Amino acid sequence: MTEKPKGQLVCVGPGMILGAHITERCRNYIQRADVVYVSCHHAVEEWLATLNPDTISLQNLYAEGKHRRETYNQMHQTIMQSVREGKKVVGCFYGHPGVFAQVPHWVINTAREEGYKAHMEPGISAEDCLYADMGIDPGRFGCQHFEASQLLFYRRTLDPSAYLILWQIALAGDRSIAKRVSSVEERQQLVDILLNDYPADHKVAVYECPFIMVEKPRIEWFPLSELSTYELNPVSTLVIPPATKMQPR
Amino acid sequence: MSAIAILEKLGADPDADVRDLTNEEHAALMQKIQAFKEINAALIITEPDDSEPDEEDKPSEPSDNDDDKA
Repeated sequence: MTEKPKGQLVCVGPGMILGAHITERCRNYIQRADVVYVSCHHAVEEWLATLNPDTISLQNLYAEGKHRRETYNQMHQTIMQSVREGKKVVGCFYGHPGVFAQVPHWVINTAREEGYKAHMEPGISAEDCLYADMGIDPGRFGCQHFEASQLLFYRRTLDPSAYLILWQIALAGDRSIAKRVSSVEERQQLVDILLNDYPADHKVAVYECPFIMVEKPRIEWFPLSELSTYELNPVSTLVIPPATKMQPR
Repeated sequence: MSAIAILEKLGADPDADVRDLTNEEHAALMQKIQAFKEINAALIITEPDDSEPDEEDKPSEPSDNDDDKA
């Protein structure tokens, strides 16, 4: 009988805010791991290292101008190497490990294909915090979520009677996969598409979840027409409230 | 208590308050927060047109057993 490989992998998320969101189960996985690979805010990574000294940051694999897919490949290889060495491995990724993070899904699939035990544990994501901080119930009018660049690269059907949440808005339109923030011109293309369904003066909000409790969420409202020049950073999310009423059938 | 331990306590304990810190703790905390602000952490993201792993990203076909799922 073939013996099942010994290594195992769990991808977990510590939530968004240091110390506030981590589940007991996630903490236990981290503390009992042979090695913990982390991709989180530096503060959270430093904290996770207090839970398990065998914590290794994946941040050094990123570099300005480096193709992000190369970074993801290296993350994948690094994590899999430890699994293949028979270690109990935890991958710990900012917020929820499976939301807007492709490496955890990818590495879990690979580990399973190679016969290792691998699974994901949910964490509190930016989406969860957004609903709480902005007082939005996605069930009230409905809520569409898109990766912002997908609106530029693909035909997507918008429903302006529902909330529209655009993730990774700071990178909207970037095809280089090497930048941290897209250009005004790239973002203006997104604005032009949104203007098909929303008026130029429609109020939208940029939302950012803090990563430590002493800071407040960033919630700033401005007209849609100002989006191309508005200050954004890689963790910004755009929230567009409904512009029309739901139409009865 | 280290600055990281203070941040953990502030996150986990709803009654914890920055105003209850000693002057030394408060100074250490502010210094740490400032240091974190100067680090521009890159966070793993999803590519809008990613092809890796392409086929595996497709939602699985619903099976007969999925009929009664919400």
